[in-house]
Amino acid sequence: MRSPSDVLILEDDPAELAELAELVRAGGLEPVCCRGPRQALVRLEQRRPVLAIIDLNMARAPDPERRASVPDVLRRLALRHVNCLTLVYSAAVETIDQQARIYRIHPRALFQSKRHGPEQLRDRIQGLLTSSFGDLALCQGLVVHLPSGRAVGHRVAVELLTARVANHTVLLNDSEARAARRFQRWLGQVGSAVMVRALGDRHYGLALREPPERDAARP
Amino acid sequence: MVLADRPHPWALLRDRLEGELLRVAWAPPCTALPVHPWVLAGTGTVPPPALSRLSLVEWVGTPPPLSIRPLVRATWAELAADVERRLACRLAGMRLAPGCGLMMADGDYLSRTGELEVLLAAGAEGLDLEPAAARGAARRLRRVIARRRLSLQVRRRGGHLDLAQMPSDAVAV
Repeated sequence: MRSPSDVLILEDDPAELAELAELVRAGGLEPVCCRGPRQALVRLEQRRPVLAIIDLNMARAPDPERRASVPDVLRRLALRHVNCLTLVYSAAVETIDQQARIYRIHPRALFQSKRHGPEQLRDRIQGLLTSSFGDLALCQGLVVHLPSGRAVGHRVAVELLTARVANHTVLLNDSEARAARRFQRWLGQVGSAVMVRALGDRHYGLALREPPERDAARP
Repeated sequence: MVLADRPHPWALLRDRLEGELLRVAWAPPCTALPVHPWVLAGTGTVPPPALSRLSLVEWVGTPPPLSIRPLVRATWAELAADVERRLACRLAGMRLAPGCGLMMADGDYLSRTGELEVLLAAGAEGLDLEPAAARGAARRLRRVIARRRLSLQVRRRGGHLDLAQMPSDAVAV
């Protein structure tokens, strides 16, 4: 049950791009590096990233890359990659008006201001790449059941865990829903406190198994 | 769903309320609602699009004519505090579940309970709407309650709806 999970990085500064790629690689995930929006759109045709890290300012991108724009990439992510967590980082996401402009294109985008420095960006990305929920943790690109040490690496499992940490749900097609059910069976086998919950309309999310409340257990 | 010309109320509610129980969306007035909201939080004099199902409606300032009587608040902060309180509403051990749906006292989870989630959060104040709309909503809710065998009852007095726990003798019958 292993398929690699990709992280799309759109960054016009080659040094920063390399640094972010290294960070993603260190998290056990596969960086999909793009120096401009055109390249990002091409990559999004072929790959299914679980996380997209998007720089808004493309001033240093090569000219041919500017045939497309960052809003085009965000629109594509919002419409066709609904389960991909999108982290927009820029100096231009500090005001509410600036965030609202992005929201209109991608209503689920997360924001990280560049003004807070690369350290905070790294911490934020690290937080998303090493998510944990209940007794599960994302480690080296695998979902690990911490008590047993057993791991599963399917993209759908990774998507479910990263989405849970960001308080999102995931929308799954039929084959992905089958993968989610296999993941649920695996969670049962390892005795995890976490379960996959069908929320209706093909939306799924992770939830903690909740013990009955004491009052309800009384005769 | 925040209905406002400017995005600032959306940002305030997002920063204060967004979490595992709630996502905050924003639409300018006069636009179609992209989702059917649990709470419609608006301001201004432009009436929102008609709601086909139950929603809580909270309004900052004087509201326009609405199909569901809004709870009027003086400020967005007051509105946020009220929504926060409603997120924690419980009845017979039942509460809102993360994402969507309801969590029962015995740990069971119920999905596709949108209108029940609204009426649960309306609490003892209930909801006031047009009598015909209240009749339709009560019918739909009673069907859900019967299908899921919940020990709840929907009470309707004219256009007023609220949710209560079924008396224990009625449950025994």
